[in-house]
Amino acid sequence: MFDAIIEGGKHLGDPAYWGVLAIGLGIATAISLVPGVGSTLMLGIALPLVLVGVEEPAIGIVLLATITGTSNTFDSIPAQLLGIVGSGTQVTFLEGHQLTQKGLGAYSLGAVYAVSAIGGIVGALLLLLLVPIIRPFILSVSFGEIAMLGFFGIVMVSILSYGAMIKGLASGFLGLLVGIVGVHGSSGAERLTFGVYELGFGLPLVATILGLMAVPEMLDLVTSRQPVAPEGSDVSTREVFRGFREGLRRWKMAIRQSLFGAAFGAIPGTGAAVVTWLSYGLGIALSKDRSEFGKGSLDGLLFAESAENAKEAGQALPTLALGIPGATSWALVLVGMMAYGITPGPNILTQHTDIVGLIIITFALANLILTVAALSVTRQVMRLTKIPYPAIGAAIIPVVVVGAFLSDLIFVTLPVLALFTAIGLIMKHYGWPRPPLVLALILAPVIEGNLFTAIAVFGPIGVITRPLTIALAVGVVVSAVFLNRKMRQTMQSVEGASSGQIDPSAHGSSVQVDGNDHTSSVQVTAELAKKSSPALPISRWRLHRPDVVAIGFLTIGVYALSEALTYPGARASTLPIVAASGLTLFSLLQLFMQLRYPERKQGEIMDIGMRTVGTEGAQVAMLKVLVTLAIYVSAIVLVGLKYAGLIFALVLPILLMQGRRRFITALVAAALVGLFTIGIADGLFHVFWPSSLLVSR
Amino acid sequence: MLVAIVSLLGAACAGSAESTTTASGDSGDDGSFDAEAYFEGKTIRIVIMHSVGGGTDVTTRYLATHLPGFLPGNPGVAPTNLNFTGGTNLVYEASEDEILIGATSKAQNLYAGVADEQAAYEPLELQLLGGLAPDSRAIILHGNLGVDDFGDVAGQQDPPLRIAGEVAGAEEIVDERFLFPWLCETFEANCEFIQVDDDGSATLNLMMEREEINVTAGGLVSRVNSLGEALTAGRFVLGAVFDVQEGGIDVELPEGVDAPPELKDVIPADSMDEWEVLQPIVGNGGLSTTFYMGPNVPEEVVNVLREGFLALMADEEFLEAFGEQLNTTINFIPGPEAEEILIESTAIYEENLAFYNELQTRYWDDYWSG
Repeated sequence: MFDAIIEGGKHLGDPAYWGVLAIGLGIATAISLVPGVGSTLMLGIALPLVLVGVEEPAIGIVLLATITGTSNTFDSIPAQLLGIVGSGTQVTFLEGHQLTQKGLGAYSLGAVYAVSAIGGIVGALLLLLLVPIIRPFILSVSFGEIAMLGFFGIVMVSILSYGAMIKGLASGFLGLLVGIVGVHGSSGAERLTFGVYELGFGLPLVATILGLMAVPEMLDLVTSRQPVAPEGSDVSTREVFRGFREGLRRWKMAIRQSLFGAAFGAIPGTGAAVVTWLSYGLGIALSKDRSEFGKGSLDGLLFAESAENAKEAGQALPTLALGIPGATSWALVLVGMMAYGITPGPNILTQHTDIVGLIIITFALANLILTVAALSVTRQVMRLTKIPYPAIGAAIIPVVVVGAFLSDLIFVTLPVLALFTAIGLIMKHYGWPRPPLVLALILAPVIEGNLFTAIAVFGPIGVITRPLTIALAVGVVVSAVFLNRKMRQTMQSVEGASSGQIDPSAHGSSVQVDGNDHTSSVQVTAELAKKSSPALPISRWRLHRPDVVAIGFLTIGVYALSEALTYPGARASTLPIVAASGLTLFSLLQLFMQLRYPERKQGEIMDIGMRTVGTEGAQVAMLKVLVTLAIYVSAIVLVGLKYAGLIFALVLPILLMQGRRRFITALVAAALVGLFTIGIADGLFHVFWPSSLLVSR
Repeated sequence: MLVAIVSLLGAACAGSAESTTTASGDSGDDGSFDAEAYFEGKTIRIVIMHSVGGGTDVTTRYLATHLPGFLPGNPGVAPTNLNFTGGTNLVYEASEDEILIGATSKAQNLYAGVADEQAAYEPLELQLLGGLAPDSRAIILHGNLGVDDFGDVAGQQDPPLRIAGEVAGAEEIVDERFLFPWLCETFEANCEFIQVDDDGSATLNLMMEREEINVTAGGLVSRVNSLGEALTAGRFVLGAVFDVQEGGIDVELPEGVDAPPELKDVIPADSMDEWEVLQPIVGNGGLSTTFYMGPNVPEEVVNVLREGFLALMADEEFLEAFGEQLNTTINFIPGPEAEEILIESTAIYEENLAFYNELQTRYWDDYWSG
């Protein structure tokens, strides 16, 4: 095993290796920072160039492995600092962005770098130890076991719903419905596609998540006209290093979470989002104090970030040991290996010792280099959090919109982004937690696909008699009971201590408020469960604005249920029926609670609230933002997506900012948007832009 | 941030500027088409009708890196990926000013457009630049079946042949998903069909390794490349090949692995006529990776590109390198010949469409819908 390191280490004397490492890290960094540009897309472009330009197989393969293996190291920066959430950074956004809003951005980023480095190194060491022996583990995990991991994620949905349990569960069921949109793979049933051909392939995931989480956050921040970080927050290098030391201090936790991330990453079919959410869930389960999760918890952030980096080495395991890619991007590394005449599999450690060794060395080395680089540039990057957000948003929002389009290159991404932005804003405003929705939409295809395939392969009895499936199922049930009990205790003790008072002006962690005076819905639920008479005022039935959300969700639930009942066969209809029924039931229950007990308070939920509600000038600012968005949409229709971003970037600062500075800001923002859309999207990716009325393709 | 990204990736943007000259506007002094002037400074856009990282994607991108050197004016080449029907519609509708090339994995995708409601293109109006002769397709058997080749499975009852596929409705039953029901009936073998949500080669290889299925099929070259160790170790067996390209099996088999028989040699004689009719729906249709343009593109532009592809494919250095990458020999079929093949395959396909539809519906009801 250690021969591999010695053999691989011999390449370190080759200058080409260091050149390739620099290029790989540069590309990986770009992938991390730009929304919509995944490692698969970049590897697709790079692969033929590597095969043509790099003769030495070890160097060429290491370049490909570096791009895919380190492309998520920096993705926590846009999620934490700017609210740009990606497919693997939802937990980072949920916890890290709130930390930034509390003035702890530099500190938490420092801690993230530390645990990411630990995760990367742990992953590399695992790769070294496990390549020769991992085969039985990978082969023992089949469809049923992956479905059970999905069910563990569903347990997380209930945990993420604490503070507004009924809303959270409704949100989770809505997520399941959103996750099944598309033509069902094995029946051909068109599920909630509304006859739109492009939706047959499923909802564009990046656009959906950006719409639900990122764009509402950006619009809220733009409307606030404030910087992300509060005044006086420390963004110095010293603060970054203080966080880094804190991260290192938690090395035991980081190693534990890294092992978990690497193990899940080794199972083909589990993506970054599933791994980070499950790692977050595991971390919560093993924590003593659960009161801060979802509200800007450093622990929560580090649980996910430790696992995310280690996951890459996990995904390399089946690729190298079995020739079965752990993820789509690793499939391209596999193609590269075969093109160089290297057959992955159990014999790779004996036949191509140097390549395995060099990949391991590179993973460890790359993580250290990136950590040093991150530590040295963070102070400059943190300055972004000190700039009023209209200036940031003017450049970032069009980039995010184009990034969403880039990820699927189909027109439907734009209306989907707009629709889910509206849903995200409404949920954010009225205190409906969005994380359960996001998690459920990611889990829906994982659970449905794997569960029914498991039944098809093993039969219904065969599935439930597989030892590993049984063990995981028991784990799911135990964790569901344990976590829910602990969370209930935590929430009750927190509410007891705070007497239900909420400070909506707290930085970003402002709490979801339904509207007027409220008591905790957790309290309500608990007391209803005890069948005791609720100590809540019962009012006459009267509709309020927040009720419209519940009515909207109820309508969606009823419509989806009527559709789901027409889908052919159990395989196509079971999950839609369960999801639609759940959404209908919990929306109805929420509506009942709101109508019957309109005076109730809602507890703190695990989501980021609207920071602009009730602040001075917010309504005027919101109006200006809406005007800018209307201009943007009109510009997309008239001159196309390629140029519309320039108009948005010019208009937003002029409308939202004051003084001469706004004109300079507008020009700088437009230049940055132009560099991205015309320089990268058009020049590098040669995007086929959607048609517009005035400008031809 | 973006400045850093742009400077990092900026080198790759070179050559992307597009001029707006048309073929008719690039005439030499004698009025002839000036290809050098036409292509200079332009970017040829190649739409790959399959996802990033697949065989067609890698092959096309590899070709794209070399193609400019064989074209006048040294134009830029920019590949991008779209779904097949949407992408081919785009290529079909391209104006005469656009240099837009479609790339698909096989001719079958093109003529299947005849029966695709979403297809806004006429397959036979497309101008083909050429295509690779198809890679033979292989049937892989699990070693635990205890057979030497597919002929031995005739009458096989226990264990049943277990086959997985992703089929969303009768019209989705093509290739091996069509082939296997036919083979099971023809060979009177007991078969179980398993619906999966993803029947990519990685998933099927994993299911074979886990012994959840025991039969699969795919391109011979890619399977030999990816399953080399399993074949050598005897865990998997090459059961048969079909859709064999002219000249026989050109892939280098791993040491100790016997050459499999052709499927037509083990099929019962009374089923041979039907087997011939099935070719357009179980195979590639005579062309694998195929390059095509829309009907609006001027003929002189198409001809220059055809010559460019031919010159590239005649370049020994390139062929050697390309063949090494794919572990096989490359046979390129020039545009006019490729069009003839497409016409022929389309004719057979259209002629037998009713028969295919009937079988597809029955196979869906009897095997795949459950």
